[in-house]
Amino acid sequence: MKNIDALLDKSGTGFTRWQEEIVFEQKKHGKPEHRNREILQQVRSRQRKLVSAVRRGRDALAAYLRDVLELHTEDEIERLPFPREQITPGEFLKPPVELEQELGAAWEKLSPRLASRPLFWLLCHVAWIEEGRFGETGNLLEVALTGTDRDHEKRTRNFLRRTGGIFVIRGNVSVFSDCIMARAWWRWRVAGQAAQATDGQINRDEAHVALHANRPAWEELAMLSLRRITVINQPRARAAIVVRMHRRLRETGKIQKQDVKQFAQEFARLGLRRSFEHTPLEELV
Amino acid sequence: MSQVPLPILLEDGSRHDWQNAGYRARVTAGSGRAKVEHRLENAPTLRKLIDNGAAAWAVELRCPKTLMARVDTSPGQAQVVRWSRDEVDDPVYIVPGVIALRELFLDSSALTPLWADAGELRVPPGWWLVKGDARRAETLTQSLLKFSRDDGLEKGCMEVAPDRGSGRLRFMVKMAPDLFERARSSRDVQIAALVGACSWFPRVFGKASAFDDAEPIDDEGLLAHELRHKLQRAKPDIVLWEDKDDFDPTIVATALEPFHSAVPTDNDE
Repeated sequence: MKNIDALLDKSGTGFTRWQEEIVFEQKKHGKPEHRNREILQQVRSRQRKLVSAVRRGRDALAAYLRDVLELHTEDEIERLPFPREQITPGEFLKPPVELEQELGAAWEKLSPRLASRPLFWLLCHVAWIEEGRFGETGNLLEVALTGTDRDHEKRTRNFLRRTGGIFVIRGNVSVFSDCIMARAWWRWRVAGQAAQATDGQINRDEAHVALHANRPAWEELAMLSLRRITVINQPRARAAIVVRMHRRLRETGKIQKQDVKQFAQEFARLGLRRSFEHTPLEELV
Repeated sequence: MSQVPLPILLEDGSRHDWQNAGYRARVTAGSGRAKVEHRLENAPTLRKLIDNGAAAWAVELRCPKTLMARVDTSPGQAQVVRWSRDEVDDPVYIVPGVIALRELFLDSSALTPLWADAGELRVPPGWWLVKGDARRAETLTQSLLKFSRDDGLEKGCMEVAPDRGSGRLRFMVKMAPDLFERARSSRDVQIAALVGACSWFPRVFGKASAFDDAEPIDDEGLLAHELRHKLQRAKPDIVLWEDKDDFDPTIVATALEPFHSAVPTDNDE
């Protein structure tokens, strides 16, 4: 990915501006019924443009996205290779375990630095749209617009979430939680790291199944790792949490968000005083 | 996985487990590397543990954004830690200290009277015997600004705008080619860019920074928190971004980075 950094720099400002201008934030703008009706109308108009671009198909959507990202047609986007010719709308919205593993394996060499950026994933989506991975008519990305015809805010936010994340609102958690392709990559990566750090107690597929089993549980792990309990990013600590998730799933048939929270909190208390990298694994699992 | 209370020596001096002991670390960060110089004072017991290999100088590296954390150890007091550009996306945080490499036993006679009845204490492997404050592996100013060449700008012009495209708040400084050429070497150009960035503070931090003493939970909150404390240390009576009428971006920028002085790291105080 040689030119991607230049593209990220080039489209960064446009990306931020687009995201800030296309969603209506009550926190920032105030309640729509009271004031700022003019701002709301401008936002709705931009949202209609996005919906219209999606409906008009691949070329219109790609052109729209290039325009908001301030990219010219000659700016070639170096994309991640998509392992399948096309995927179905159902697979796009909720990739099954096998598809996530396939995607993860195909993108094995992607760096965490790039994978942590919502804009990188949006650029990949632009490239995939242009090469027809989401269908000639763009109908696949219509499913990203989940919401009723009249609820432009919801539809817009869903589109933004699923194609990279609404960074201006959700911050860094977007790529772990909201963007479907990014989430697939991160889950597969964490599964690989966990398998490696457990010295064979679980393999990568088993770890991935545990992480994939319940989206809120995965999101809890990602959120805590990112914001609150960063010590659990030490490979052995995270591996121990994944082993516990795997065990809970095997024993009870499910893994809950609360389970992950409980595991992580135990590690949080200990991690203030102890390096997990120098702690025997058997003490942690 | 039990947690028994054990003594720890903290850099900020907030624990009183060790008699008269002190710890300081000096961190000099560069691109993909940091040199950490550890200093222990009046701590012969801890020093002996390091000398005989039971404990080691340690540095924890953390980049929450890429879910990365690891602990590197060294027998030498001057420790160099490296990371790959691809495994992190700034900010990277550094936590220095000393950890136990294997199970060891501490004689409580070296500790304060709080531990008088403790006898011999068993310390498990991995325990932080000494822990320093967390710091960023870059200067605050480096973390705020990103320079970019813009061929569309007229000679001598620059534009500054918030940019979250990298996944965190910073300010993109677009410069005409002649300015961009000088951006790395000219402090005047850098500080002009910083003034431009500071002028955005009331709009980007706004009410979000009202937490002040609360624990910031995200990177943007952490940045506002760090800026507030750095500015209040530099100029206790400085007007911050909540007071939009009296906020002066030039005063704020030059309090962060005065003209005509070497750019310090955050840890040079």
